[in-house]
Amino acid sequence: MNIVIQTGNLPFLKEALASSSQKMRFGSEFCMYALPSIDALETAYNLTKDAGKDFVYVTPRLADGYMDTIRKHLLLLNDLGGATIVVNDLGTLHVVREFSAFRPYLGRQLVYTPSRCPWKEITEHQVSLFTKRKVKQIFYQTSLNYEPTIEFFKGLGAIGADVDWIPEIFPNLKFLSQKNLQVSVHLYSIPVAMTRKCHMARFLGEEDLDKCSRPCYTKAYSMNNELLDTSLYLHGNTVFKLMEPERKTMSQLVKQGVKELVLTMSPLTRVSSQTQLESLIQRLQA
Amino acid sequence: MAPINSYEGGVKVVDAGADEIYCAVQIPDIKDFVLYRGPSSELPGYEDLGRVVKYAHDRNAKVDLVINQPYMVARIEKHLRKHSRSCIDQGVDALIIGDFGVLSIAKNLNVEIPLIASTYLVSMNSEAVAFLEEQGFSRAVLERHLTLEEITSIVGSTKIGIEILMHGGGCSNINASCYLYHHQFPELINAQRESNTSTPCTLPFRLQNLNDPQEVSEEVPVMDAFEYCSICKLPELIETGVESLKIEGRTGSVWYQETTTKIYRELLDLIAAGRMDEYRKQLEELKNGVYFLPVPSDFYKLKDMWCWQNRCYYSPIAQAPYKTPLSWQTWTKQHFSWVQR
Repeated sequence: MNIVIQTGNLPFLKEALASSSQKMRFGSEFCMYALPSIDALETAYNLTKDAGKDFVYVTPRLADGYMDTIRKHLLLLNDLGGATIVVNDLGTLHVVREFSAFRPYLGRQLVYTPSRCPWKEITEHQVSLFTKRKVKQIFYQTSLNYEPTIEFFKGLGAIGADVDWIPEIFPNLKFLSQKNLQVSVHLYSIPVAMTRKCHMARFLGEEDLDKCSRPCYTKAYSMNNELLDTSLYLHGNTVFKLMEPERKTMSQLVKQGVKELVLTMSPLTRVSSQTQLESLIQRLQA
Repeated sequence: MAPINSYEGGVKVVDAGADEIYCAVQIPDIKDFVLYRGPSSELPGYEDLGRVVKYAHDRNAKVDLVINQPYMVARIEKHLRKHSRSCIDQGVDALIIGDFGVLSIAKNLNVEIPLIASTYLVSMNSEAVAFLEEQGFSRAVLERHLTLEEITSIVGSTKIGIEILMHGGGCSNINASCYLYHHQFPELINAQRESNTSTPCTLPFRLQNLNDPQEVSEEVPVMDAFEYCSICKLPELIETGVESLKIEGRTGSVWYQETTTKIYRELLDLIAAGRMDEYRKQLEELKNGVYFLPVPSDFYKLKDMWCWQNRCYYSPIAQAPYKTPLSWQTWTKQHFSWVQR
């Protein structure tokens, strides 16, 4: 099982490059305001290639004002020799298709996964067990488990897709592998809700997101409401639930043809150094 | 564009001046699979849809069918195909679609009918709209989290129609990226009842910094960023060049659907006629009135509920409405609402 490290800034990337992981993801998965500068992107690409590792560029959903930036980023990567691009926005997918050097990879925001929902009971108590079972069979699929949908995205050039560590969906991932779509499973953090009106920035009093001081580089919060009986976590503009990977579910993943795990370095996963990364990688590979 | 969930609602909003109405119909074979909204947001059957279509068409109003399942699975494909066909047979004018799997079903019906891209397809930029146009959509509903400048820019870049939400409980999160489903989940229903809130994103939370456990904030409605109203912004919304302005509220009462449609119709007509003084005068009356609530009330004024909290559609993105303290009058009303009863 390959472990890919995802980072959003150069200090984290430098730590990740010192680890044994052979593939680096760089960029912003959820926040358009945290897009790297073109210089940072070029540096990240060169550092990764100099270390003899693969480079993947991660892009978020974008408003119109950021499309020019992303186009410049793609032109740069095109000149540097191309890359795999994780795409979370239909507009970016549209632009990526203009370049033959890119291999689009469907990000988590383009793969609808209802079981990201934090509520445990998915139907009313009153319905029959048979109905509950039927609903669960629908609930624990992703949008890519429907053949016309997966064929649609493959027709647009998609070579892979990001999903979450939700053990109940693992049996359905085999279908994706059988359709020759590479599957990458994100460890630990499952996005439950995402906004453009960054919840964390607003809470911390940021007034202009274009000039955001990036508190998400150092902070993450647990969010608890005792009535909900579930723990949520706030990191930047996204609310997550956390899921610890287990050994038995890991072997289940291998059987479904999944070959790649994604580990994000952030205050939420509390992985910020090469030492922490290495011990985690060792544990996961064991 | 007005929402309905009943034949009565259809009659009332058309009479109130809606040019277009949108609705869903219960899908008979998958009624137990509900994520966002329950059966109360849907017409009960095809016969009701047929009556709504006839009433609307007789008065030159269009009827759009919502089939925006956020995703499609093989197990419900057959039911959805049959359902779509039955609705089209009743004469609906367009299909509102939120998933590319559902789009494939709609295309395979081999019926010439306009397709509208729902907010579930998250159109936030001109390239996304161009992509949707390539896929055969003739109109796109933009995501709420945009500015007026961004909407104008998108409208100017495309040949297809652009629709925006202008009223109703808008989402704090991006619609398609929010899995805090509102319906049917017992834990959530309990928490909302106890907290006196109506949606998960208005719930208060205890926030604790993971890397500095001493940093704790209690009772923070940290996700509460929804917008509600845009009566004051109507001239600017029209200026953007959008084709359609949409009122949210399929789960609302007939009273809400009718009065909201009527108010916006009157305001839009005043603006179209250039009677701006009357428009501004009416705004002031509305703010001191008791409009836009799910049920009629003599108690809450619009300005108490929404204006003082800056719940305006298309406001600056980083605005922090939950930080605006409630006035003591509003607080008293909220906490002593039993007096009203």
